[in-house]
Amino acid sequence: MSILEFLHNVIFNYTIRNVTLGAFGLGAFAGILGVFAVLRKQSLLGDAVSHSTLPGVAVAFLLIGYKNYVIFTIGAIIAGLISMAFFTLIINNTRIKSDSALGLSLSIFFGMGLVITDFIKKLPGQAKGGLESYILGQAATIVQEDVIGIFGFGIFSLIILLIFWKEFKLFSFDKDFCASKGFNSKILESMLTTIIVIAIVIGLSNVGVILMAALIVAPATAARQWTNHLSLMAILAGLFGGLSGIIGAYVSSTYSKIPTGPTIVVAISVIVFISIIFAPNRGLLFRWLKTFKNKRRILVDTVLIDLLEYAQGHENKFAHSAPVSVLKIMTHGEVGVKKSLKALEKNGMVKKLPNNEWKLTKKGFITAEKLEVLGNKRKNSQKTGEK
Amino acid sequence: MHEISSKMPIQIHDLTVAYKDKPVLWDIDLAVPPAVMMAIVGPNGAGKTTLIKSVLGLVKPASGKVYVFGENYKKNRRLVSYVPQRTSVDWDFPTTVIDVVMMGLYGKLGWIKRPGEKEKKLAKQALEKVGMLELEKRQISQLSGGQQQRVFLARALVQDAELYIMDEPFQGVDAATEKAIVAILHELKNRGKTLFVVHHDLQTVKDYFDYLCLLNVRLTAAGKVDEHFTDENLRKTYGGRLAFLSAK
Amino acid sequence: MQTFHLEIIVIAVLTTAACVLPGVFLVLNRMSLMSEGIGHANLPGVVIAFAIVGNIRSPLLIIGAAIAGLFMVYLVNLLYKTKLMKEDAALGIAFPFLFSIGVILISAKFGNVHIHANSVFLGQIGLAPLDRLVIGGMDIGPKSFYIMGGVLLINSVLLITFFKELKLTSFDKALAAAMGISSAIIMYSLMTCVSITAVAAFDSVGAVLVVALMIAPAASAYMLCDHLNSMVWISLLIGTLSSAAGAIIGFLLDISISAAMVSTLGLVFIVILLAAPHRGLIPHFMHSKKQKFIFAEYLYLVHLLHHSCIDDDTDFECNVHHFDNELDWEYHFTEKIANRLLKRSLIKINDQICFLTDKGEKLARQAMQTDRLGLLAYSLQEKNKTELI
Repeated sequence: MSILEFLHNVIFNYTIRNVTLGAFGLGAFAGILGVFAVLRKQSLLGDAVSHSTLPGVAVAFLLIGYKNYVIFTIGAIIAGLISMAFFTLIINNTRIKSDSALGLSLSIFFGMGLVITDFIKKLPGQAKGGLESYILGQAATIVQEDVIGIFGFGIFSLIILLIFWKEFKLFSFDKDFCASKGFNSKILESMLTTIIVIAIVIGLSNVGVILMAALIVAPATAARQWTNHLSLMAILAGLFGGLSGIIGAYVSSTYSKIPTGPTIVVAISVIVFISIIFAPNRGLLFRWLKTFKNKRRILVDTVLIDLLEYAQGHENKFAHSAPVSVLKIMTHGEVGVKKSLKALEKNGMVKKLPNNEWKLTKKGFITAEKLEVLGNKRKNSQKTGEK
Repeated sequence: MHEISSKMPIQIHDLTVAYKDKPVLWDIDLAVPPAVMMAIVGPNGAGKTTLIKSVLGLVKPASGKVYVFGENYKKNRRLVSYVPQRTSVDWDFPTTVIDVVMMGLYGKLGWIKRPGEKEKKLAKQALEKVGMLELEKRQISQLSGGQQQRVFLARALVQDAELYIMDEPFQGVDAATEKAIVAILHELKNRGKTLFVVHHDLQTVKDYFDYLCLLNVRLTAAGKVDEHFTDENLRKTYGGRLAFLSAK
Repeated sequence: MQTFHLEIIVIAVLTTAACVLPGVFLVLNRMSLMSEGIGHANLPGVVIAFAIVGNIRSPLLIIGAAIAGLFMVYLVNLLYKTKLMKEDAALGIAFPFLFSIGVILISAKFGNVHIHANSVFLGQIGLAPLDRLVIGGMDIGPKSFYIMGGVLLINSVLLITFFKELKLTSFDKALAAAMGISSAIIMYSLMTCVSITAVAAFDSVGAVLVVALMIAPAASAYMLCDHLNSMVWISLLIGTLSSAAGAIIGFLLDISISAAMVSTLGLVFIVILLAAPHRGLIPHFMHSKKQKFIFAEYLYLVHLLHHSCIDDDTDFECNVHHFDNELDWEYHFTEKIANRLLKRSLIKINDQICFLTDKGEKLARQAMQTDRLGLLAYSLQEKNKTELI
C-alpha cells in the first residue's frame, strides 16, 4: 500500500482509521506522560504497572460480563494504583530494594490476574475474546469506542499535566526545595503516579502489557537527546510516540502478517537509536567529532608552541626556522605534524622556507606566545587546585 | 518589614528528631538572632542537614517546636529561602539556567499560576548579581560545580527573603566562586538578612561567619564565633577525630 | 493422585529450584528486573535458532535463546554507557525492542507456527509429562525432568564453585576488584545462568512468571535471614514448597498450574512480608509503636534534666501542664507518658512541678550518652523485671 493509499484509507476505511488513530493517540499520550516517569528515574514503573493491571481487567470482566473499554480501563487503573501502593509499601518499610519490589508486584499481580482469567474461561457462555487481546494487544480489533476512550483518558491526563506543569517540573527537579515552598509532595507524587498509570492503561489494548513499557520510556528518552527544554522534550516525545504509532499502523495494514504493537515498539526503538547517534550536541556522532576536533586542535597548538620554544632557544629567534624532523621529535612522535603545519600555514601562522624548514610568522609568534601564557596559567591554577 | 526584622528569625525549642530508635537530633534549643551569619558545624552524621530540614518543615520531629520569625514555618514560608545541597538534584534535567532561577519564584506564585515577564526580569537581576547573566540560556548540565552553585544562589536571591538557609554552599566549588559567594552572603547580612549555613570547612569559619552552632546530635555550643569557636568546644563536638585540627 | 500429577509436581519443584539459585544473586545485586528483560529477550533467539535448525525440539534453540538474553544484557550496558539515559531506561527500551523483533519474526516468517498467548504467559507445565524421553524403547520419564534437572545441576555446580566470588561481588565490588575478581565476568556468567534457566523454564511457566520464580523466594528469604548461606537454603525451601503446594492447588481448582504456582509464591511472600519476625510489616509497626513510647519516655526525662539545671526556668518549663506545649505533643500522649514514668518512680510531681528522681536522672544522663536508645530500652525493661521479682 502506498502512502497515498494509506492516507485515503485512514479517511475512508473504518478499521484502518480506528487502528491508525488509536495507535497515534496512545503513542502520543504515552510519550508525553512518560517524560516525567523517565526524568524521575521510574522508567520501569511502566512495566510493573502494565503487568499489574491484569487482575483489574479480569475482575472488571467478571463483574460486567462483556468487553467495555471504559470499565476495563477503570479496573486496570485501580489495579495499577494498588500495585504501586504495594510497591511503595515494600520499599519504604523493608530492606527489599526497588528492583525486587517492582519484579514482585509485576509477577505476583500478573500471576493472580492469570488465575482469575482462567476462571473466566471456564465460565459458560462468556465472550472470551477481549481478555487475550489485553495481554498481547490486538490493534486490529480496535473499534471507534476504543479510540474515543484513548483520546478521552489521554486528553484528561494531558489537561492535568498542563495545569500543574510548573509544580510537576519543580517536584521532579528538586523535591526538597519544592516542599519547602509549600507544594505538598504527597499530592504531587500521587497525581504524577496516577497520570502515568493512566498513560499505561490507555495503551494496553493496543500494544499489550509487555510492550507498553517501551512506549513510556522510549519517546521521552529519544526526545531528551534533541532538546534541553522540558516543554520541548514533552512535545517531541509526543511527536515521536505518535509517529511510531502511525508507522506501526501503516506497516501492519500494508503487510497483513505483521502485528501493529511490536511494529510500533520497533519504530520507536529505531527513533531512539537514531537520536542517540545523530542528535546535535548530545549525540554520539557529535561527541566523537568534538573529541576528534579537540585532539586535532591540541596537536596543531603543540606544533605552534614547539616552533616558538625551538626558536626561543636560539639567538635570533625571529629568523630561526625548524625542520620537520625536529618538530617530530619535540611532539614525542605524535602523528600529523605535517598536517598541523599545513593547517597553520593556511592561517598564516607559519611559512615554509625554500630549504624545507618551517618558520613562525609574526602572527604566529603572537598567537604562540598567547597560547604559552594561557597554558602556564592553566598549569598554575591546576597546582593551586590540587592544594 | 520593620516588624519582621525585630523578630527572632529562627527559634528552636527542645527539638528531637529520630530515625527509628536512633536520635538524629537530641533536645536542641537554639535561637538565631537577626542579621547574623550563622554556621552549622559538626562531623558527618551530626544531623546538620536534618536540623535545617526540620526548620523547613521537611522532617517531622519526635518532639519540640520550631518558630520562624515567631510563627510556624508554614506561615512565614515566603520570608525563607532554601538552598539544598548541590548534589541533591539531577543536573542532567532538561532545563536552563534562567529557568532554575525562576523556580525560586514558584512559591510566591502559588499553585497553577505561571511565571511571566516580571519573573524573568527578576531572575535576570539575580543572575547578574552572581555573575552568570551571560550563561542564562545554558543547559544546566553544561555548568561547572561552581557555576551550578551560583545558579542555586541566584535562585535563593530572587526570592528576596529575610532568612537564607543553605546546605553546604561551598561544597566542590572553585576558589573564585567561593569568594564571590561569600561576598554576596556578607552583603545580604549587611542588609539585615539572616543566614543559617551548613559549613564543612573549619579553617574558614572564623573568616566567613560571625555566629556558629556546633552540632553533633546534641548541640555542643552556640553563639558568637569569637567566644565559642574554641579548641575545647571543637573537641567536644568532634570527639577524638580532631587531633590535627584546631581553632587557631 | 496419579503419576501424571506427581510428575508435574516434580517438574514444578525442579524448575523452581533451578530458578531460585541465580535469583538470590539477582536480588542481592539489585538486578531483579534483568530476569524480566532476559525472559523476554530470549524470544528472538529462539526464533532465529529455529529458522536455522528447523526443529522446534532442538537443544540449539536453548543456546540461541541464551545468546539473545546475553545480547540484551550487552545492549543495556551499551546504551547506559553512552550516559544519554539512565540504566532503567536502557532496560526499558532494550527488552521490548528485542521481544518485538521476535514477535514480528514469528508472525511474518512462521505464520503457521502459532504462538498462543497462553504459552508465552503461562507455559504448559500441565502438558510437560506428555513429552517423554524414550531411550532404547524404554520410557524413562518426561523430558522436562532431564532438562530442568540438568539446568539445576549446572546452576548448583556453578554456585558451589564460585560461591566465594559471587558473595564478594554481591557485597563489595571494590574489594572484589582489589582481590582480582572481575565483577564484570561474574555478572556476565550470572546473566548466562539466568538466560539459560529462563529459557528452560519458559516451556513450563512462561516468560513473565519466570520472574516470580526467580525473585519471590529470594525476596522472601531476604526478609527472614542475614547470611548468604541460609538465604540460599531458605529460598530453596520456600520456593520448592510453595511451587509444590501451588501445583496441587492448581489440580484441585482445575486452573492453570503455573499461575497457581506463582499466586502461591505471591501469597507466601505477602504472608512473610507481613509477619516475618523483626522485619515484617506487622512486627515492624508494632515495634515502632513501642519504640515511640520508650523514646518519648526518654525525651521526657532528658527534657526535665535539661531544664532542672536552670533554676528560673524550672517553674515554667517543668510545669506538668506546660509539658505538652513544650514538646509539641498531644496532651493525652504527654499525660500517658508522665503516668508511665510516675509508675516506675522515675519522676515525681510536687505542686504541679515535675522533678526527676535520682533513678530518673541517672537514666536521663545515660540516654544522653548513647546513640541508640533501643539498647537502653531493653536494659530498662530488664531492670523493671528484676525489681518486680
